[in-house]
Amino acid sequence: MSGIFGILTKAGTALNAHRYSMEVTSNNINNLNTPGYTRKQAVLQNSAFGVAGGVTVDHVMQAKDEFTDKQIINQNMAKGQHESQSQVLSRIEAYFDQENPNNLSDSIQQFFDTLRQLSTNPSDSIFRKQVLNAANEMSKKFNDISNDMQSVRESLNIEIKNQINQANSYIKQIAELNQNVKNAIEAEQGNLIDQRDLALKKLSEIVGVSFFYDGQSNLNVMTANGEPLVQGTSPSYLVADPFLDPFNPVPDFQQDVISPGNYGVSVKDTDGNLTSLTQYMLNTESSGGKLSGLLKARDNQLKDYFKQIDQLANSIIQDVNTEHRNGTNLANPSVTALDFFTPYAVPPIPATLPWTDFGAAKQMKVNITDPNQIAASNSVAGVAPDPGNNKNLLKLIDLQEQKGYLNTFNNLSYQVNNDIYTADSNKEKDTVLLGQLEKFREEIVGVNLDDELLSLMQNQKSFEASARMMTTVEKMLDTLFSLVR
Amino acid sequence: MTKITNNIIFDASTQTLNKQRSRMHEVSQQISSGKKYSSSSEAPLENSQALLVETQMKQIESFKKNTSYGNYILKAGADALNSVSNLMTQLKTIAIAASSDTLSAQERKNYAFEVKDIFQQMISNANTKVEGRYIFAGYKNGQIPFNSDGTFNGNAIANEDMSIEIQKGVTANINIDGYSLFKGGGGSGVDILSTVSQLITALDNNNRTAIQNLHATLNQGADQIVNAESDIGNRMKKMDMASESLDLLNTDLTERKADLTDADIVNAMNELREIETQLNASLKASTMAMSLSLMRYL
Repeated sequence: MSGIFGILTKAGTALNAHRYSMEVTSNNINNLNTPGYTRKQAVLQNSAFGVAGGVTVDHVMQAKDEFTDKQIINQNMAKGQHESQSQVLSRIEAYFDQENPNNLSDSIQQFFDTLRQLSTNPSDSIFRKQVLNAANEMSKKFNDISNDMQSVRESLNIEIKNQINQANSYIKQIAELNQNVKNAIEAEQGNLIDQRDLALKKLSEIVGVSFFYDGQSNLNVMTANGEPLVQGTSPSYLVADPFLDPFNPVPDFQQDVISPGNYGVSVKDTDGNLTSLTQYMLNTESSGGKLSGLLKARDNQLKDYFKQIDQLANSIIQDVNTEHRNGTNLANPSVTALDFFTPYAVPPIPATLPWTDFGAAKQMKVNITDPNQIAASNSVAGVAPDPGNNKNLLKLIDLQEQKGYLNTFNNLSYQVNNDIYTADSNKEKDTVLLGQLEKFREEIVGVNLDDELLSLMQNQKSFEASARMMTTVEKMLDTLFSLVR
Repeated sequence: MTKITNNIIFDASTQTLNKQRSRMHEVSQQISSGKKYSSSSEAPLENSQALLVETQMKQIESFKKNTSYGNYILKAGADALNSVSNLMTQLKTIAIAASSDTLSAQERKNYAFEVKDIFQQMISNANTKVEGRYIFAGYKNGQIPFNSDGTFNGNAIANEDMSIEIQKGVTANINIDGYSLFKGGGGSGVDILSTVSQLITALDNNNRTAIQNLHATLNQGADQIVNAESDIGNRMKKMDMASESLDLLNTDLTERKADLTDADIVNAMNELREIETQLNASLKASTMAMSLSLMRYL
């Protein structure tokens, strides 16, 4: 028994406890819309001593749903990857859209159609000009597509750098927050942990990660393939280096004439040393996060499209030239073996070509300038060809069906559109799943305003009750004091 | 009972509204553009098929140009040969009349004048020029194939084809071989122009036997022209058939392309109305759900 003053002190602690509880509630209400915030609750406990033990705040409980949290991180990684992939690939979609009047297949068809028309009257100068125009148009389209893909690739490198900077700021944040959580008093840890979880979530959108909490309440983060990013309070940063892999000096596609080199992504510790012997921690194999989406788009998909466009360009150049060289032209019949297109030349850099026709689409150019140089005839070289002889033209026209250029392009166009479609629908699926998961999470950790308002009223009433207790005790004491005169 | 937090209500409302708005945008886009898809990646397969259809249609257009050009050339040839055929009939009549033994030398000379005139008409028909090309000259269509004396300058390879593509993998010959037609082609054919020259000489020389001897050759020559006319007729028919089947194919392809890419406007309109109703309802529901709070009663 602690006596009447005991009651007074107990009422005092109770006041404190209810005030504290109120603070927690008001914090919940204030953070109603704070991303990543989880609902806190002051857990009250009666004191252990006897019947009149009073009430104290035992601890602040934080709602948590680790299982859902983990799923959200994973879903976030997938979403980031598909999102960035779809963004990148959509930028070249127009070249493969049949609604676009400027698509490449139209130009190829146009070229062969003008040849066909010329075959009706091989000496017609307007028909001849038409052929040259169509050929120039087609070459330009190949140049454009190649240049555009190139500029998309270049902007990808910038984007990779930006994403890495963003990711590094989250990595830093997590490491710092690990320290702060350690330093903070228990009651304040909750908010810091919320911030840390939010940083992790944002990081997972950029890089595929795995994570675990250690015994000292640190959040440790690694890349999906196990390279540490945050170990306790020490961060390791992602770096973007131009590709210079000691084991593979010119990795496929990375060093080329046109761009200053693609960036590879590796991890370095605070001293700037690589954390692993394998230089590129992230590659097309890594899964999850915007970075892996960007790398995949760059090193798998764009690269493949690029290669196919080059191959198509070069096969048109070579096939047309081969037939054209056999013919006799009107302008100067003694000039034989005239190339229609400027033949493909191996670009001076890179030392090793990523593929054999590398740069053909970019280079494509019509070699002849005078419409009369079109070799329509199959007559003997050196003698002026008969104006009606169209035999070589017929061979050129045949190339289209024989070599199936349009089918090649059409397959590529299906591939591009399908890749975008897949990325888009994956992104959509990810968004829906993520929404589901966020809802599960909200159900457990989210703040419901009505709940909080009720608990606010409850706290208020309890506070009033405790205060009333004090005044009552005061009156009791007055009664006692009045006994003594 | 699950707990519904304010964020859940908010997120759910935003999501629903976004979804409905984007669908609405899609449908109204369909209506305004008349196209089923706003980008090719929405339907990769349809896009690829439409690409093929599109290029095929372009190709058909080019084939159509060729058939119409081919027909034009052949028609010009047929017209010229029709005149030549009439001239041959006149020649035959003159040859028979001039074979009569009652005719005087002067009368034969008069016939000779007439035949000389016919000869020139024949040469001028044989030199028919269409759009800058001599249609009876073979490959050498840039220069006049027949001199005024009936000698030949053109492409002297008999039966040389001048092929143009009129359908996928189908070519047609638009060459009308003037060398075979008028000069006998150096083989079994009748050298019509020389025969006419011989007739003129015979008439000038008042040589009745020679004139009589030419009857048979003139008949053969006339047959040669008639045969060539029917050959051209057949080729024109082939050209017409190709052109017709190209038209049919074009119609099919147009329909196919519409199937692949065009929006069903009636459906789209209905859907738009549906979405509008839904969107209205969602807006009302969202504002209500979000405004309800205990706060209003405290």
